[in-house]
Amino acid sequence: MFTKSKAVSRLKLHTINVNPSGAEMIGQIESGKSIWQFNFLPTRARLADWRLVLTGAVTITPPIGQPKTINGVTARLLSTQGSTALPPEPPVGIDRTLIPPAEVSVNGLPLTEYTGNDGSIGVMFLKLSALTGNVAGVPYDLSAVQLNARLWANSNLERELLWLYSALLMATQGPQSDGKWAEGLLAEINKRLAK
Amino acid sequence: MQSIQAAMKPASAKKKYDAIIIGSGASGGMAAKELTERGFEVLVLEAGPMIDPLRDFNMNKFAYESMYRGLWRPGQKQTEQWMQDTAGEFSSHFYVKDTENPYTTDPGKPFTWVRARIVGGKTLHWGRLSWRFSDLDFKAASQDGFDVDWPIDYKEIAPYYDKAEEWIGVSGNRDGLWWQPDGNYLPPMALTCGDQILKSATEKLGWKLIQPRVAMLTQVKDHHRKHGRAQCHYCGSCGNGCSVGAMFNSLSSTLPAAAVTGKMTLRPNSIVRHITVDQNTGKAKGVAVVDRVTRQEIEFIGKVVIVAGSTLESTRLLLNSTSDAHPKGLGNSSGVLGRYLVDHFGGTGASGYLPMLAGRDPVNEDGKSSGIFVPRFRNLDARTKHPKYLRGYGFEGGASIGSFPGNARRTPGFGKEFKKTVRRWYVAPVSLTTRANMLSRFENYVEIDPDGVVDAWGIPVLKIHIQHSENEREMGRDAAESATEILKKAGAVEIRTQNVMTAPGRIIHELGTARMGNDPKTSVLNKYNQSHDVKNVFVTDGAAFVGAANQNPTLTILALTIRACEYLTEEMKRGNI
Repeated sequence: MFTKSKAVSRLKLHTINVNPSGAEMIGQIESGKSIWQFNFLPTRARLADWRLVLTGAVTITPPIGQPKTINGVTARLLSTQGSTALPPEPPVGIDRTLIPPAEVSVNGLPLTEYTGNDGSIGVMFLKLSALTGNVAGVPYDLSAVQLNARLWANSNLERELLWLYSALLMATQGPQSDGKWAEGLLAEINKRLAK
Repeated sequence: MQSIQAAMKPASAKKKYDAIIIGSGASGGMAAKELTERGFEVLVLEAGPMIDPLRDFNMNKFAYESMYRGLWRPGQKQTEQWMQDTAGEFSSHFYVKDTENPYTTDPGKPFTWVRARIVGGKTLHWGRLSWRFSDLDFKAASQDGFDVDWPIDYKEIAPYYDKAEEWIGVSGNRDGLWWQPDGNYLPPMALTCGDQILKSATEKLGWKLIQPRVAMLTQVKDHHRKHGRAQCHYCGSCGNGCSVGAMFNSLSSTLPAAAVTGKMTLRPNSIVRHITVDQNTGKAKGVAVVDRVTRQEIEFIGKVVIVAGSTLESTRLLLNSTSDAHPKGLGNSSGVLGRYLVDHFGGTGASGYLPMLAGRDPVNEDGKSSGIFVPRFRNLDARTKHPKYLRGYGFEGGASIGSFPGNARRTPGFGKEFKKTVRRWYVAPVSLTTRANMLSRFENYVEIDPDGVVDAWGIPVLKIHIQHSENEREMGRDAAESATEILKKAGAVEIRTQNVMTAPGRIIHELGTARMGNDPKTSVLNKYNQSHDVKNVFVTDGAAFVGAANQNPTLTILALTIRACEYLTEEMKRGNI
């Protein structure tokens, strides 16, 4: 997960793997036998250059001692990996105009599994803004960490966010790219992040 | 294994190896064998760990021995190896963790990239089907006008198919089909009773059904015995690691042969960041490596670099190997590196039950893991030309009793009647699934992720762009209809036609992206797998393929590797490298 940075003496941590827990993304940082808990709680979503940017708080809990929380951390979507599992149902209670029509077979030709609107995000790769200084004693350089957020949804909120993040990706970078659609989806995401 | 352990001596950063081989799977293992036997001092670099068959192979485990009944620890697949569809609880350690080894795709266009970073690579769990390509495949463009021909023909590669088959051991029949050329086989695995019914039905429709040609020892020859390989005992657990070496994998076959020469150094846990280049000559100088475990950065030097890390890892490595001399990636003056990605597709087909077998006493049929094969029957000639698509497909499948009554999931009811129904039909399943040719198209490609996504070691990852075209969809529809027709002819009941094509990558036959060709402006490699631009770099895995055909590719990869090593040896003797 890390290599030695030429610029600094500490090893550079390249990636942290996180999974959803509600709206939060949680993971771990390991060093030898020590483990730091990593939490990113986004409270606001916006678009910058048609990319999702989540803003929120990072909390790092050391094996011994007090957690450290850093507010105003941004996580900018770099890219995604498509899931090869069925996407969740569209959330109940959102404007139905935000739900694209399902892909239909043309002339009875087979479709490809998990593609088009039948697909969803498997992993979001997000670039975290630099975490500098001594962050709860983590022995790594955290200046350029990539969050690998594997969107394994277990609760209704997680399923809703997975659907909304997937739809937003289609609205911003898919073939049906559409600003109005994206704005509506962003509002739905923010409703859920604010809870 | 002892010989391989001996080969794990410390690699020297000061020594100039005759050849550095990247990867230890089908191609890397064969290259190691071929080159060491020709006197080369080789360094084999494997990105993953060494494996101990005694500890890590689970051939003799049954689902009931596991807390998770042979499935996965809850959440493991979702949090670590989401995409590794083929991996089970007893074999998940053969596969990479996607968390450490990410890749990216466009929205709504997934690709399933199944990888095995481990000594032996994907040969530890491969499907073992070993078909030759024919000129129907090598010269497909001459017949239907799509894309280009391979720069080789069947006659040129046939002797190398002979050598590969002889070494790995392939069981099968000589069926006399010109488009599915025969080799020299060990005795075939017999068809089951249900397979025979299917064969008869298929032949009534004018098509063929043959015994699969599988790289499993039904007879042991001296060169197999020498490295401790034994005859298949039909346990049917090939994918969990074959402890007796009956199924070909590089760990039990090619790597031991290389090790006994004393000329191989095998270094596991060695992730190659890029190929280093001599700025004066533009030739490859060696490789820059990061140790997977210690994170130590090391460079090794060699006269030749053999890239055999598996199709897309090899192309990723070349694309990441940029320099002043090779700004678009090593050997990419053509701009074709990364292009023409293909994978076979499956998913379409049919399944049902053979009523004449219902209620029979269960017999042990799950040990024979070879099934049946229906060779391609479309677009062989003018008579078989299909009006709506080019190329063709074959069917894998069969009719044999498995160890688990899968039909229970689809059987309604409960209690005594439910059990009675499950038992009655459990002994009579039949299914056919497609293995189809996807056309090689320029617009299906990989690139280094333009948004800067990296893996756990900070190495830039691939972004994969691939979609099926109308040609594949038309073929998929025809395959589903044909499979249904065969099952109907066989008298099957409760036939379910599957009409959804697998997402690209799922068949694990990703091929192309560093194609061979005669013209350096339109191809990456020459017909001997040698880089047009950098003469001391060879790419010997599936990346070199021009087209996918519909047959499983590993035998062709092995044959091309042997041929490339022979050519390399001669070129070095002539002083051309």
